[in-house]
Amino acid sequence: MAALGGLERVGPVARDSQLWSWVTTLDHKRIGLLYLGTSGVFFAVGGLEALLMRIQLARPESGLVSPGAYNALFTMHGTTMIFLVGMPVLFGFANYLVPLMLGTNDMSFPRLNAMSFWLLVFGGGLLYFSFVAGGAPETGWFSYAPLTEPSYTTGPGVDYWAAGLLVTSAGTIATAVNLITTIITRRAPGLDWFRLPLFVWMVLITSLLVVWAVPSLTGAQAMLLLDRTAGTRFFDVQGGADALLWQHLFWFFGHPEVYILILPAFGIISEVIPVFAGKSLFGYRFLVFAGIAIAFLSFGVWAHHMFAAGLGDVVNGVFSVASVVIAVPTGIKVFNWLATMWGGRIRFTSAMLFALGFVVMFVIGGITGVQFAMVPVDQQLTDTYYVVGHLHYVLFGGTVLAVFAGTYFWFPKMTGRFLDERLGRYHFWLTIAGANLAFFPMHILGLLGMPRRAYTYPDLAGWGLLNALETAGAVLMAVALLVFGWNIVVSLRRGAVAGPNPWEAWTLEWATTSPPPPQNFLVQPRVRSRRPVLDQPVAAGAGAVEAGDESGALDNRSPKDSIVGVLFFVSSEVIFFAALIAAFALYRSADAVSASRLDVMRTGLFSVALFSSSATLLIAGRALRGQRQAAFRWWLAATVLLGAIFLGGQALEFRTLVGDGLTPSRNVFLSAFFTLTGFHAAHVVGGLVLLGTVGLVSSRRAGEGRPTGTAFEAASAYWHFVDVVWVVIFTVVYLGSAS
Amino acid sequence: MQGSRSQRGGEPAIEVELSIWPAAVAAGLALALFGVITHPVIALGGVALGLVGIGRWVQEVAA
Repeated sequence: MAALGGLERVGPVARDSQLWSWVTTLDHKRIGLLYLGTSGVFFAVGGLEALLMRIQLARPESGLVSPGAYNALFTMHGTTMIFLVGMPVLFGFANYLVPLMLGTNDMSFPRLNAMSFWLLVFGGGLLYFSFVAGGAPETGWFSYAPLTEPSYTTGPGVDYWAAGLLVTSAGTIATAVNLITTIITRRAPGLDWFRLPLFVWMVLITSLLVVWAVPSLTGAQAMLLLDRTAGTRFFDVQGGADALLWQHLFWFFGHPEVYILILPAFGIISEVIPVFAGKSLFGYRFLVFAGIAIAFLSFGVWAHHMFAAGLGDVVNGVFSVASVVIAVPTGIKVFNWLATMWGGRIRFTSAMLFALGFVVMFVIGGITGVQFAMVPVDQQLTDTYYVVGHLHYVLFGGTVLAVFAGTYFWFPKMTGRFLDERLGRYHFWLTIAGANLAFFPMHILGLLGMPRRAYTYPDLAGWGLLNALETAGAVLMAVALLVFGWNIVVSLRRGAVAGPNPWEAWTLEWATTSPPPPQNFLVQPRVRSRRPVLDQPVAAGAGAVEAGDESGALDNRSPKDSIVGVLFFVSSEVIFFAALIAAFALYRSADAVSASRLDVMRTGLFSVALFSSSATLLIAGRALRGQRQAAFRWWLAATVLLGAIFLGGQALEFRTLVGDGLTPSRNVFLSAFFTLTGFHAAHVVGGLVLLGTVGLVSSRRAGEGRPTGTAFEAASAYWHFVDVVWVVIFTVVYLGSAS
Repeated sequence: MQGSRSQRGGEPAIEVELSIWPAAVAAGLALALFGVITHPVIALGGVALGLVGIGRWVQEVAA
């Protein structure tokens, strides 16, 4: 019991509950709990918004809520549930569990992790500040442009929507990069790819989706915010903008987003079902590859959200087929879970009940989803309540039920106490009854033709009764959530004490105490199978890892962290620039006169300075590795100087154009030109600051004889990326348009 | 800000690292965008807060 003794001694430090220690924490477990708590608060707010909508719709022709207020309610409900609940709650589980499951002591970048969480808080705060700053947004969670253009939507609501989500999205991308890096670089010895818990696999795939999908939304929101605050005209249809640009950029993010919300839920279910079925997961590799296939295909189905937009039969056909195909790997997962349970000794705990509820509800949502892959069906049902029913079966019946399953499963690990099982069963049955009562009649109403996002409806046959049933279901769900909240409060104080491995589970988080100590493990776990708990030398009866060197915390920082992190960050930047370049390509022939004014020769010369900086940087890096400090500083200074010369050229170009009256607000071409080249210039500035800072720190460390790490290589990789992006921009903008 | 915690009764000390600067950088970014909507001075304040936060962050990591 030496290990447990040691862990208990340090336990009080981890449980230090002073407010300041929570605000400043860098511990992945605390940050995970902060994510879970914050998303819980937003879930309550978003739930109240839904309840208000349902009360308004409980009877026909109700005037309880005004049309504008109703618009604000569904906009904030959707935005909150997607961005402030769905993603954060899953990142909360990932934050808490991934390092434990990997057998490491923390995430690769603890400070970045803390920043990501606070970006969620401040971004959410910015979004909700709209209520007191002149009115919440009323344009739906996808805020289609041109509806959101200043000429159609006055008031600051959309500004706060775009700004708030830009902030949260930055945190989301940072968390995803952090998780990917952690999973790649910090696995315990022996924990090879096909021994990873399914939850870790799904988090990895989800994080890749975040890194490659969210920047499309970020680019679109940046354009929208510029339209609304700086007078650019990306989405000004009367000024020649493309009416579908926003939809393409939004749904390129929006459909992978569905899988961002559901894949970690698949991961949770894939951990819960085997434990309570007493069997190993059936078809582990199939589940992994099905997840990868879903992620891959999810980038090719976005236009099925636009079947009614008039894209043409060929485009609709291609996206229809892709949307049907994606159901295949999803179906594989369902059969894997069923086969896992088949012949097992099933324990019907609350966690398992919610997992079973997930499977049933998700299958219903999945089947109605496949129906929407059929163009004629979609065109009949789009914008009806059928869509609302479908998406709630997927996102509530799928994601939320999985979150409940995960909470009952890992609450003992996080707190050292069980949630009450009796209250858990009440919670489950009230939730199932409420959700089906609330969401199933939506399908019937949709078939009857009831439109979504309408604040009221006429007294047509059956509509009043079905809506009343939905409202009753929503009330039941609210009661269920009160039971759940009460269960948490009571169990935190008086719940039965849980040992290290109360469910007899197999993944590494169960190989340490409940809750785990600050450094997670006293000794480095070693893995030889997919049931790593059984691989550990256990202290008698405790199930916790045996004591080793108690003097030092486990610290398996990897020298590859920086470079891996930067490479994945750069890959997200590629998508961001791709969104901007796509907008420019769309508008490149909109203003031949302005295009002819771009100075290709002069910009070409300044570009040579930028490209040369990559060469000087390579020489600087070689000097640093060779311990030649003076040479390193000279070549680094040369790099910074060349970058500054390029920026000077850009400033000259901007001044000339603006001096001639060619401003960003003049037309779509100039909007796209200034935004694309301006964002690139901002990246050059950022790169110069990064290089200068990291270079000086590395030089000082090298001068003191300390290891320089890989931070400079990582900063260099970022700088080379900035250069390569300019090759593309110069080709598209200057050589492609101005010639 | 780094905190070294708890040496109780000769038991092993566990250093718990704390930092306010990641939260400051996040606040700076949010404030900068809030300023874009409301007033440029607020935006500049946000940028300044963010830069200070990043500077102190780098100092901590480099130490």
